[in-house]
Amino acid sequence: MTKCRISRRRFIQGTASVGAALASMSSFRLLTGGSSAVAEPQQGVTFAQNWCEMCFWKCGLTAKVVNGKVRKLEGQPDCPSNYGKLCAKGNAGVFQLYDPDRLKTPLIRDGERGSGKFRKATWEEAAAYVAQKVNELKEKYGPETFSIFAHGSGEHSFVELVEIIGSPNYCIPSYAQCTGSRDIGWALSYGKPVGGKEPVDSQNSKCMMLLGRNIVEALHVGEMQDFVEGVAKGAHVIYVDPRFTKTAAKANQYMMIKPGTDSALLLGMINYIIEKEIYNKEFVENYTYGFDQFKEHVAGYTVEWASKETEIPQEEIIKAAEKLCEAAPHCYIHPGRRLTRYGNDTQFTRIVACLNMLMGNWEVRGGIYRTIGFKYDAPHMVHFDKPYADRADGAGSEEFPLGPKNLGFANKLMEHIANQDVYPLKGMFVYGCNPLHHHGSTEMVKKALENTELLVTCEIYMTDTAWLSDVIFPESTYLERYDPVISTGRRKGYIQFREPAVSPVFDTKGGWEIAKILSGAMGHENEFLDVQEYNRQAFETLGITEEYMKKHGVWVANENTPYPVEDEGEEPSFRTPSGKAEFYSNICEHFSYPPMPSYEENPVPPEGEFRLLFGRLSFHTHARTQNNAWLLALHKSEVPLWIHTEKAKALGIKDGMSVRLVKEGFKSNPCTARVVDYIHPQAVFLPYGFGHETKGLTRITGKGARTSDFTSNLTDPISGAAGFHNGFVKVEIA
Amino acid sequence: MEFQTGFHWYIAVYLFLAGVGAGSIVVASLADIYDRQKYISFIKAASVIGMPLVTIGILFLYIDLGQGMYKPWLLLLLFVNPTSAIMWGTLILTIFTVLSLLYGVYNLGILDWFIKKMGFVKIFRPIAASRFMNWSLIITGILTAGYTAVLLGVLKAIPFWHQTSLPILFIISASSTGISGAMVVKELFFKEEAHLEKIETTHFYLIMLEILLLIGMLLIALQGVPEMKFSALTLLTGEFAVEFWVFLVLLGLVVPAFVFAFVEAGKMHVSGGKLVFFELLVLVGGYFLRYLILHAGVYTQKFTDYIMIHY
Amino acid sequence: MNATKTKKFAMAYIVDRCVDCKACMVACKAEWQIPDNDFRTHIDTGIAPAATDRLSMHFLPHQCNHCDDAPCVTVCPTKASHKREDGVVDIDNRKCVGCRYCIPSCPYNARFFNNELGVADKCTFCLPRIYDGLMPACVTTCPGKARVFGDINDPESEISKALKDAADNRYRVWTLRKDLGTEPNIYYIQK
Repeated sequence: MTKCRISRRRFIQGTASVGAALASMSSFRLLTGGSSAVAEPQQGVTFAQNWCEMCFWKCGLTAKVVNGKVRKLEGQPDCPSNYGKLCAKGNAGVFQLYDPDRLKTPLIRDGERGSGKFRKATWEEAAAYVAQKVNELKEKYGPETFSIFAHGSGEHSFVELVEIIGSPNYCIPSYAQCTGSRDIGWALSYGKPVGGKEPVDSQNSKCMMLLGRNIVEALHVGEMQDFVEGVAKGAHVIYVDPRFTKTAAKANQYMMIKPGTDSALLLGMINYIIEKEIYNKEFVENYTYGFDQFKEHVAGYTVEWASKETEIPQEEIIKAAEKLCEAAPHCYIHPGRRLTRYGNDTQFTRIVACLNMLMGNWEVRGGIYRTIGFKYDAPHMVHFDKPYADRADGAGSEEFPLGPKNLGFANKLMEHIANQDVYPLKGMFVYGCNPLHHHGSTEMVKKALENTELLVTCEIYMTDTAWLSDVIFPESTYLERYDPVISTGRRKGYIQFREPAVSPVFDTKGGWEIAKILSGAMGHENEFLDVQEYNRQAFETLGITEEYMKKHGVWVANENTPYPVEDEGEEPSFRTPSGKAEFYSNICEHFSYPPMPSYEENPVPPEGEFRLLFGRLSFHTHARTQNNAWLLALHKSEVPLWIHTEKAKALGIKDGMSVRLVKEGFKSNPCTARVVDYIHPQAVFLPYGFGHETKGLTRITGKGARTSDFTSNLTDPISGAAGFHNGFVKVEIA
Repeated sequence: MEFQTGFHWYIAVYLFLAGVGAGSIVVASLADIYDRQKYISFIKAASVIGMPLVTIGILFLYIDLGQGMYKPWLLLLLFVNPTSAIMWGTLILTIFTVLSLLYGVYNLGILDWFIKKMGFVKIFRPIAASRFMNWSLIITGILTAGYTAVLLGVLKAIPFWHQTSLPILFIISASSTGISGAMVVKELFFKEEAHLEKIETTHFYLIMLEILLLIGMLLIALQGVPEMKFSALTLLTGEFAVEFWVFLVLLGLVVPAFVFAFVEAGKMHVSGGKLVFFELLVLVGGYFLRYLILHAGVYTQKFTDYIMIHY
Repeated sequence: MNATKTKKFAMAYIVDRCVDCKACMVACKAEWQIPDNDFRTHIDTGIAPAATDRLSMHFLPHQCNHCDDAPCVTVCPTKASHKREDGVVDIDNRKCVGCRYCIPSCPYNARFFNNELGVADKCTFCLPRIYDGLMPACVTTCPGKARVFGDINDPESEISKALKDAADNRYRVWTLRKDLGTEPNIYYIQK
């Protein structure tokens, strides 16, 4: 029996014809079908170097190309991001490349927003259209009326385009909607942010404590490899989460915490460690600031109190504290990654940092290592004058003096677009991200999009945001384009190289090329470098050859020790006002924030409602990969909703049933109930990135719930970043 | 929990049709030996369905094939591995199909028609009319019906199938459904007066035996290894409970058993349309027996030794 | 006389290192262009027991066990499924009629029906990749280094070392469904 379906192989054989064959269900399909004519592919087996763009960890990879088709991706053995390994997402990059759901040509909206009616356009036509609109809006509202939300390796192409237009309003959402609070809290304590590649030395650690940092499922290859090494070597792993995750499966000690009380747990442990005087006295005495005040400050946070707040037995809390101190300094308490939970996450990170200070684990094995980066005089893709206007979002303003202007507050900017309360913000660019998913409130984003007179998206897929756009530029995937070389830092500093494995499969271009076309169409005279020329200049400065990079893909440039305190007897030093790690933050005092972190109670869901927790599955990234058939097959296209057995029973929900999330009358698409004992009864858990509205993601549209329809959208008073986890929902049988 | 998806309903149809076809021919051959004149209408009816149903069954098997369907020369390879049940089954089915074809055309008078056209065909007539033919059909027919169960039974991976009662159950069910099939055809096309009480009695006992065997098989399965128990429970209370209780137990076995019991006791006379109806119920039951045993077997959990690891 | 012994390929999973990331499943799919909804290797997620004093979750990778007495080889009518000298149970696609009989015959659920090719399909230990000096795709990609592959007749191979190490340290080593006498060649190692 032959099942009626279209195989991937046949897609690869003739993408153009299949695109046409599928074009019957909507006008959108008709418009996106077809492919560009490409040069005759090279025969035989060749290899091309790249770094993975399926998530943002930048694993080095080599693409195997057989007769002009990418057949397989494998990790570069020497790349310190991943040492030869790739995860499920990385391996599925091949499917993404040849996915018939990709955007295949520039599109201009040809109907109501949301109708999904687009017409195919040539690059010149689309660029001219955007240029004309942009120049009109600029004339009418001033250049600062434009905003850009950008994420990914090519983000700076569009960021710089918007700066050329003259607007300062560019946002990298990974600050406000991911790591912002964590990095600010860490910097207040240690004088520098954690950084995108968390410098926790899991592989040598004797004890690791993770608070909801689900390393195994919110997966980055290098970080997870270190963790598994540590586990295999017998480290004591303490995992704290309202839900028993796959990371918990690897833990020696799992504590099911009442959601929203992590600070209480840590403060209780800190109190115990100080009371029992089992902290690292040498470090605390010599390298920290404000310990005595801090000791007094936490005196009230007894273990008994913490136990009551967190619902964790006292013995467990004490055991965790003692295990950490026994292992100190070869231990760490993980600062987290996406720390946008309750709108007070900066102070939470301060508590984490303080506990780490008590361990004295700075730049030693098994603790917090020093990120070894590599700086060089990198060329510029384009030169331009910095815009003069003030940012609309308030990053770096009096209200949020610590907010970094080079990252911006994606959350606040979107709010101001929705409310139009700073100055007119009428033009929006979106590059590689999806505001309808990553913001705390879909409603607010929709309002903002309504206020936007021009919405331009540069994407590889028809995302929810692209679906509502006026003009869409299809970007080449990472396997089809050059990008400027990047310098990455972990335990070593290294340079990574990206070259196209194949010519674009469809009529697409790289982000820099698109930015150049648009800039030219708008009449700007700024010269964009060709990416290959940029790389040639960079290689010259670096003293390496292009041949070397084509062969290896990665060049390890800096091999200084990441454990200078341990290996070279270096004195720990910190770029804080006191020059020490600060229990008592001088900067906080200066800006009238509480200089020492206290416990703040978070609201509890009312009877009959649940706190919505969300996070990643180990085989999906953000809202980007859900439509990838290879990854969908891993979970049979099901979107699970975890709910506690007792609560499910009371609602009549059985495992495997179809259920919906409900909030203020709004109902989600159906999810599949996972009725389990290992989630806290106050919470339900939903994997992030489902519930797409767009009709362009044919395999996943309408499946599961979109978290941003149900989350809270709080603002951390210090970092300005968002807080999502105070969203309360009801669950009903679909 | 991962479920097997190798066999689907095509295979159940094949198991069922091969059973009905073989069963009807076996019973007809026995009747032939016993008293050909008396049972001639039944023998003719069986001849109409015997070989054709087995052939249609094989056709289902054929369209279930993967590349073998469009590369039929590969089918020659079906005879190369003597450790495979399929090799023996193919052999048995081939012999049975050829013999039952000859027997059928002889019974229906088609052979005589051929002899008129092509004289040399007459050499087949004495073979078709011989006792040797009858016994050959009985043996290969029982082997065919039994083979459909042995095919499943040799797979140790699926404990619910891996029991000796399965071939017996399938042979009995084949005979029972074979009688039903032939009776339906007889009622519809060979309406001459006939005294088939002995066959009806046999049919009743076959159904009773089938019920007892099924009960025994399930009782044993419930005490079996976890996968076996799981399979049995999917029938009794689980995934397939509705089909099991309604179509197999109630309509396919209990109702016909009651009706035929009353007929045996002389308290009821069933004929014509009513008889066809009850015989059809038996056929429905026969199909569901195959379908349910097939699915209960594959629809089970595996790797139980790992799941039971003590932590 | 030549001292080289015949090869016998085998694989071990160091269970403690598996985190159920499913990289192996997708790498295998890419390597072999498996139809979208099928996989040659799987990781099952087990939660046991339901609610007791201690929660636990374990991950069970599995694939073809390349049994020494393989039921699929026994039942294959055409000898398309065959056991090679080097221990690999392979399918000769040219001979397979697609009767599916081998699929339920496997106690490990290792096989599936490849609707694109019309034949039974399963892991081949990445033949011929392993003869090109590479590891099987799943081993190459496994971020946790949970998978170890090699020739167990060669004491210097990684698998031999892993098994010896496990024996020396008295780690738990087991194979699946030993009771069926299939003599599988996939080992599970757990501290």
